[in-house]
Amino acid sequence: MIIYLLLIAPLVAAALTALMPRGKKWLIEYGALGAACVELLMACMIVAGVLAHGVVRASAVFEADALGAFVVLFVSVVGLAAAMHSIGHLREEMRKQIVGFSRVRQYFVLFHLFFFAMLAAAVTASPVLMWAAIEATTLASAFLVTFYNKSSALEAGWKFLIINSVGLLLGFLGTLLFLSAAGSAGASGAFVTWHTLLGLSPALNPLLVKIAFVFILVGFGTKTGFVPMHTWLPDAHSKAPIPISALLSGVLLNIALIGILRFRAVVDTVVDPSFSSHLLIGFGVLSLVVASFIIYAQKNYKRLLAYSSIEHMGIIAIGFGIGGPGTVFAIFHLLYHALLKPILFFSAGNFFLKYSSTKIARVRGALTAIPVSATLFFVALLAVAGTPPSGMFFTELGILSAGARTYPYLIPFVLAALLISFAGFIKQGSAMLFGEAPAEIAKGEANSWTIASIVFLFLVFATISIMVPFPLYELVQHAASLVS
Amino acid sequence: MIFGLDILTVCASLVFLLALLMNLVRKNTTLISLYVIQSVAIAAALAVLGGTDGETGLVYAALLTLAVKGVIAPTFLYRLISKYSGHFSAASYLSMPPTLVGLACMTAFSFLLAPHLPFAGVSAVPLLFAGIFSALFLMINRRGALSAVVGVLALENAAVLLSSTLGAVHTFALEFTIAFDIAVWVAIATAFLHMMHRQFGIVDTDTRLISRLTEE
Repeated sequence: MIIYLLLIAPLVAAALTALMPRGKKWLIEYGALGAACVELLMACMIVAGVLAHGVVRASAVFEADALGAFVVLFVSVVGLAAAMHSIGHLREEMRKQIVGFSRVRQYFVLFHLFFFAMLAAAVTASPVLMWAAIEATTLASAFLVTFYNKSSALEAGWKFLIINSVGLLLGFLGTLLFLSAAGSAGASGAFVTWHTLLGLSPALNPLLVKIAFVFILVGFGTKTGFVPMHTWLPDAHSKAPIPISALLSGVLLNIALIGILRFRAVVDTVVDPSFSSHLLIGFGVLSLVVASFIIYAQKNYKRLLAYSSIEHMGIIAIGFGIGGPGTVFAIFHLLYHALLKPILFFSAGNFFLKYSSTKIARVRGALTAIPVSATLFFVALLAVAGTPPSGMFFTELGILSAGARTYPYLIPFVLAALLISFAGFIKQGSAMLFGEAPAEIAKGEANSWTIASIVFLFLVFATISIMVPFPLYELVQHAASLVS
Repeated sequence: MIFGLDILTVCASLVFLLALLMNLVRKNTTLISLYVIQSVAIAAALAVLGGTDGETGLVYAALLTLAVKGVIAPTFLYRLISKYSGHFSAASYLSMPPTLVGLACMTAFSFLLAPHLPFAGVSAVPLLFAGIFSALFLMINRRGALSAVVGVLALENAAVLLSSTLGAVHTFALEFTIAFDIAVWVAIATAFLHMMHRQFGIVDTDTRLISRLTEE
C-alpha cells in the first residue's frame, strides 16, 4: 500500500497540475511541495518497513528491498529540495519574463512524471519494468532539457533522447538476453523478477549471461554517464533548467547505476565475479581520468559540474568493482554525491540568475554579490573534491584502501586523477568567488526559496558526514549485501 | 516451415535484409515502408509463437505490435514527411561503396561471432546480430534526424526477435510494455523533429550545422 501511495502521489500531482487554470500558479507550486513531502513521508515509512521486515512488498512486481528503499530515500530528499528550488528559480525567471505560466505548468507536470519514473525504477522487482521505468525517465525529462527552446538546448535534448534511447535499447537487449537465459532455465510468467533470476542462477547459461551483462553495462552505462558513452551528459546538464540539472546529476545517474548493480548480483552468482569487477573498474577508471582533465580545463561552470558527475560515477563504479568494504564506501559515496551535486547546481543556478551567464570568466566576486549561495557553493565544491572532513574524503579513502589490497596498480592513476580534478575545482571555484563583482551586478540573493533548498540539503549532508544515523548505516549495510 | 526454414528464421532473415536495405535506400518514404514490413515480420513471428505454444495472449500481442509499429508509428512519420518533405535529408556521410563495405564487414563479424555464442546452431542469431549492427550503422551514417528515429525503431525490432529466438518468454504483458514504450517514444521523437524544423528550418543532424551552435 505504501509503495502504491508513493507511486500515485507524483501521478496525481502531475494530473492536477495539468488541469490547473491560469492564475493558480501558487497552487501548482504548493502542490509540488506537498507531493514531495508525501513522497518523503512514504520513503521514510518504506525505510522503516525494510529495516523491520527486510522487504516491503506491494505485489509480485512492486517491492522495496534495502537497495530500493535506499534509492527511494535519497530520491525523495533531493526531490523535496528540487521542488523548493524550482519554485524560487521559476518565480525569478517569470519575473524576468523568461518563461510564462503555461511553461511553468508544463515544467511541473514533467517534473512529477520524472519523479514517478525514478521512483518506479527503484521499487520494481522486475528487470523489464525497471528498464521501462528508466526509459520513461528519458522520455519525461527530454522536454525538460529543451525547456528554454533555444537552438543549443534543442540540440542537447535531441542528443539526450537519441543517445540514451540507443543505450537503453542495448540495455533492453541485455535484459531480454537475461530473460532468454532464464526462459531456457525454466522461468515462466508475465514478468521474471530479480528473485527468480537469482534462484535460477545455477541453471543459467554462463556465456549468455556474460554477453547480456556487457550489453547491460554499455546500455545502462550510457545513462550512468560512463566514458565513452557520456557525450549526452554535459550538454543535457548544462542546458536543462537548474533544478532538473541537479536531478539528472544527483539522482538519475545513480538510478541507472543501481540497474547495473542489480544485474551484476545475478552475474556474480553465475560466473567468476572478477568478470563484472574488471568491467566496472575499467569503465570507472576511464571515466574518472577523462573527466578530471576536462574539469581542469573547463570554461563553463554547469559543464564543470556535469563532468564532476562523470568523475564521481567513475569513483563509485571503482568502489563497486573492488567489492568487499569498497561496496559500502561506494554506496555512501553515491549518497553524498546525490546530496552534494544538487547543492552545487542550485548555487550555480543562483549565479546564473545573478550574472545571466554560465561562463566561468563572466562570474567574478560572487562572494560579495550573493554571499550565502557563494559560500555554500565553495564549501560544497571543497567537499565534492574530497577535502576532509567531508564524507566524500572518507569514502574515497575507503575505496582506495580497499583497492590497495587487490588492485594496487590502480591507485596511482586514481590518485593522480583525483588531484587533477581537485586542482581544477579550486582553480575554477576561486576564479568565480573572489575578486570584485562587476559594478552592474546588484548584491543580494534572488529569493528565499532558492536559498532554503540549498541550506536544507547542506544540513542533511553535514549531519550524515559527521555522524551516520544507525538506521541509515544498517540500511546501507543491507543494500551492500544485495549487490556484492 | 517455409522452404524448409522455420518461421522464426524466415522472419529473422527478413529483419536482417530490411535493415540492410534501409542503409541503401535514398527516399525517406521508402525507409519508413521498409520499417513497416520489418514490423509486420515481427508481428508475424509473435503470432506464430503464440499459435505454436497455444498462447492467446501472444496473438493479441502480435496484433498490438502490428497496430503500434505497423500503423501508428509509421503514420506519425509519414505525416511528418508530407508536412516537411523538402527539408528532410536522406544523405549519408559515407558514399555507397564504403557503406556496402561497412555493412559487409558487420555481417561477416556477426557470422564469425555466432559460433562462439550459446545457441550456435540457431541460424537466426547471426542474422539478427547483423540486423542490430546495420540499424546502428544507419543511425551513425545518415545525416537526417528521421533516419536516426527509424534506426532506433529497427534496432528495437531486431532486439525483440533475437530474444525470442534465444528463448525469452514473451508474454502479452511484456509486449504491451514494449509497444507502449515505442508509441510514446515515437510521439516524443516526432515532436522533437517538429521543434527542430521550427528552430533550424531543416530536420538534419549534420555536424557542420551543429558546429555553428554557440554557448549562451
